[in-house]
Amino acid sequence: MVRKLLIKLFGIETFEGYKKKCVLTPKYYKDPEKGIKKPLTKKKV
Amino acid sequence: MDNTLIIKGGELKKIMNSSFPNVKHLIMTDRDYAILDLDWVKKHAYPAFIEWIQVFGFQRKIRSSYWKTNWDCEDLSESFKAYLRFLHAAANSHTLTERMKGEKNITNATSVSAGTMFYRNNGAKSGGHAINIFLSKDMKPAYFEPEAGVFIHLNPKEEESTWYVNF
Repeated sequence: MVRKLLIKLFGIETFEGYKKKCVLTPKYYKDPEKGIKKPLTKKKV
Repeated sequence: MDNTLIIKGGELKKIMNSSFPNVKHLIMTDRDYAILDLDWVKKHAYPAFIEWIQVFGFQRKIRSSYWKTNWDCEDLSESFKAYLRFLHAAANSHTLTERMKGEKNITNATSVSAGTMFYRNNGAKSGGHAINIFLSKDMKPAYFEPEAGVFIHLNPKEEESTWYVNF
């Protein structure tokens, strides 16, 4: 029943198809200050 | 490594207070917020949100927007915000225990920088309007009209008339 409705309304064949259209992975801005490897400095003796 | 741009709730509150001097209800319920890419919000998330709400019978536009008499601007902006939170939670589903065992999320931020706000059109005394509010990369408010799926500009009167912000 639900499948028929999805096909009729949106042309979506499967629930997976609907999920693919609607459940996206968010894109976030990157923090330029994160993930930068700081150079190792020798400890003063 | 989580290199996502994140803002602490306290910092976000300061930005909102300085942007909307007359805000009466400033609600922030999370510890920190991952900043969404605004281009992605407009070009990808919004069309997917429109797909999503079609299940509820919103497939036809009314007066060039998706509102109905019993589902208008605040419903639209609140549901778009909720949708983005669903996506954030689904994409970052690993619990602390799972992360301790080596699983990784894109980000461990407790929420996402998508809010709702109410203001008065052109600063008018009566009537109000609800839209979504995001943050730009440089931490400035960005206003999104969910009836049309576009970022908009608010004039100083409208910013001053903002009385409600909820992240």
